[in-house]
Amino acid sequence: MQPLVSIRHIGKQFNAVRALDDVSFDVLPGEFHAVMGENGAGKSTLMKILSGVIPDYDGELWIDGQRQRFTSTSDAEKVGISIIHQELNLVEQLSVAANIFLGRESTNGWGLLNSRAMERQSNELLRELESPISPSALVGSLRVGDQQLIEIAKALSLQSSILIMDEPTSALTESEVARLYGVIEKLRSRGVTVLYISHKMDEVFRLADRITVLRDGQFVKTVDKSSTSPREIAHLMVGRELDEPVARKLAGDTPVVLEVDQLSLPWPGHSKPWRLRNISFQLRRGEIVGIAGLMGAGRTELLESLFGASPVAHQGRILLDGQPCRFGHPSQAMAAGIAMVTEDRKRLGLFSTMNVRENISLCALQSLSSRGVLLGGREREAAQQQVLQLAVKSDGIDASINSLSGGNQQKCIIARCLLTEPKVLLLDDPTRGVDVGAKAELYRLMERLAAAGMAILVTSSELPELLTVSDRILVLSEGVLTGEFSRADATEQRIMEAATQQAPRQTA
Amino acid sequence: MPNSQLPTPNSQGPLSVTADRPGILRRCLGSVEAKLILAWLAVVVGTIALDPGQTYLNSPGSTAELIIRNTVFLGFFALGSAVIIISGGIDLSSGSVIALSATVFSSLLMLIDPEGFRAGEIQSSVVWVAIAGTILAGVMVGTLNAWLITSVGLPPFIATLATMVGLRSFGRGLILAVTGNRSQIDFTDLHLRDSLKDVTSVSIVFLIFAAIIWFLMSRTVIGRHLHAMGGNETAAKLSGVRTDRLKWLAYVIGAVSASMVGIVYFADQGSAKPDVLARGYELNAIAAAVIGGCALTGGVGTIPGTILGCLFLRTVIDAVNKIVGTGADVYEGMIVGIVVVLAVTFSQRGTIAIRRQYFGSVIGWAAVPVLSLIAGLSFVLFFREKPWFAPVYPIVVGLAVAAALSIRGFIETQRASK
Repeated sequence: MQPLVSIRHIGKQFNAVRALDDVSFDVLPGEFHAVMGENGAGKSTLMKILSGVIPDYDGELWIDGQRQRFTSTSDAEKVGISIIHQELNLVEQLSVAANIFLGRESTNGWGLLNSRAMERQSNELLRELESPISPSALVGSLRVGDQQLIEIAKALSLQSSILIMDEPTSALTESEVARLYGVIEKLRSRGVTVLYISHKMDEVFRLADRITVLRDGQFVKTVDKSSTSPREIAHLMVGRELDEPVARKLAGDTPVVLEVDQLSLPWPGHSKPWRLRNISFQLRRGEIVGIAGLMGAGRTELLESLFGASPVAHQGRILLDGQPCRFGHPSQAMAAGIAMVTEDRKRLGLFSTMNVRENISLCALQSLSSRGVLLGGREREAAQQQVLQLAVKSDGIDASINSLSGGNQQKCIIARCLLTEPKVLLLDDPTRGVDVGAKAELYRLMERLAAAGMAILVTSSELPELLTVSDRILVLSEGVLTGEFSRADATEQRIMEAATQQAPRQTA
Repeated sequence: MPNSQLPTPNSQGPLSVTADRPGILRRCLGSVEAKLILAWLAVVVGTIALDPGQTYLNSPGSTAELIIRNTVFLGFFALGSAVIIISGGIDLSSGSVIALSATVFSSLLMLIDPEGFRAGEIQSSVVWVAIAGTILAGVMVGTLNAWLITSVGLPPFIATLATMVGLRSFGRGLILAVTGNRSQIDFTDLHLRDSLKDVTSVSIVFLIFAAIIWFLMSRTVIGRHLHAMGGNETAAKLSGVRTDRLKWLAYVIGAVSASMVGIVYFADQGSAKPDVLARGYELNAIAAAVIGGCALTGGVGTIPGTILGCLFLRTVIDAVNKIVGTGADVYEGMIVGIVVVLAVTFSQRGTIAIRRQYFGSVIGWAAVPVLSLIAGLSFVLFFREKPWFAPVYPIVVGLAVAAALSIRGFIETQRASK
């Protein structure tokens, strides 16, 4: 069979990082082709090249026997390729119909917008997807799952023959996932070829015909689903047998550093009154506690309230070393010995206009200065020492932070926290967008810090990761603590059950 | 020692702290400052070559004094604007603050010592009180801006747009009330006026002010925090930086620098007329900061760069004055506009690795006749009274520009299609 899509020797460089390196594989017409790989393996970059989002790359792309070079997404749409991004590309202030027809609006004889025609067509598309969404609703008022359906409706309206989906289920509830599977079946019966990026093994093995694995920007293998197993795929993704978690000596009866007692966080202006409700737990010296939960379960909000960074004040008590404390600003939390590595590195952590040294020293400037005047030598020394300790790969401490890979940027942010000598370290999804090697280093670093007596609270969107590093795992579901497992009891199955558990009805 | 609780994984020898710094010479030559100095020298040489009056060679002293005076006047509030821009904000109110502070200063002189003011012999203690009062007014304006931005939550552009229009109007009302329905206060004490606008003493005050601001921005924790806030405000807040207090400081520095220069402008102009004084100057300050390498997105910029930006801008304006002759102040805005566009275009080329199509797109082609027309008409405007002027010259200039840009566009299109 002639391949529909031929990817030939595709490569892409981002500054110092080689995101894709000589990747070649074929996609057959009508198949469901899953692309798997760890974060940073280059899946999303490849899909962005395929859909015209990234116009400059090395190598060639053949669609249906024609060599193509897209300079924009509209080029790709012309040959029938649509992409549904991980972060949805919708204008929240516009209606559903306006979004579906954005950039190719229907007009009447006068050149004016023909809203009625667009709404009618949108309605047909949505009916086809068995969705009751009104075409005149504002996209911003819809749930994430419904917003995603709008993107799919848009792809349908383009008559796309190739649909790329980048981790479409990561933000969906179970019922929404089931509906999405139904929609995918429908698309396949119409002969649409689907390229599907996912981390989720069960999903891929349920839907896919063939699976391509990428690792560190390189093509590893394309396999038929029928002739492989999840274990083999995991092996291909990581490049080695998955390590059994090293049995770390557990913390035992060390003193409690942080105690959270009936913590609640109001959610003003929302139909649910509480973002977090009645959360209580203890964190001991030298202990690593993982926080699991689906997107929107309140993981980040929990860490933010502990760090004094939530926009609304929390209720309930937080005790640090037995002393009640209440932080109105992160600077107070840091002074008390709590440090936090934030989730969205680019938006909340990095200072892209500053160099490595300035990024590392920022939180500890009080101790690296005298009467408010910076001590240049002390600052360089402290930054240099952190760079050596955490093995940050860079062209020296005066290199621009942008020239570092994601993993090394993350190490710089952790170094920034460590310089404040915290008792409690909060890590919010610290390995997101970090390559496999750096991930393993970060795990070892966490264990080293814990061994030195630091108490660590870590969240992650990847369960296996939490199972690897945590002594204990707390599970959140819709802002409520629904489970607590010791390392010995924790399995992915049990955690997922707790994470998807319908939270008891919230009361105000 | 920070981080002493960590066991060191690799036992390397003594830290080589300086080994990985790039060569100082290379860093210096690549900086905005070095480029500005080179560009400035080019303008000076060009002016010497083209100036028919040869003022640079015939009277270097007075030329230098004029340029320094203009640079220093602009420099004061451009530094204030630079601090605000580096910290991620913008200040549109500085021109109005200049007008308001000239009003406040003159009103204070008049109200505290009416007889001395009328007689033109103001006591120096009164002058110091009036200066202190004017600077206090600057602090209050900065506080107002910062309150609108941090507590009320307005975007800096909107907040300072409001104070820009509001404060000038407030100043006009103040003058009416103080003078009993006159629209300006004239400087009566000529001796005091001369000492307040004396270029040497104003320059010394400026150098001290600039040194303080430079030290603050590049050598202190506060300066580092201001840079961090400008680069990524959310991250700075999450790193424990007190962003609201820093914004207050930045806007107070901006307003105080403008109020200091308001006193100087009052002396220089000989009268406080808040309806016209320093109108639009805020944009010159922003332009100078941008030419000096400050990014309006925040986090980037230096104090020496901003001062050089002021020097460069004022020298170019002076050069056009010399070459075109009298009446060239009409074209000041045009020059500022052109210099800003060129400066930012060239500094972008260094950092962004995209090959831009200046004239190779539809809008690029549409801009070719616009630019050619501007070039030809400017030629008429600048040189119509020269003895050698003939109507054919501007047409030739316009066509030459059109041809050059079209060729450039054609080459760009060719290159892109490859």
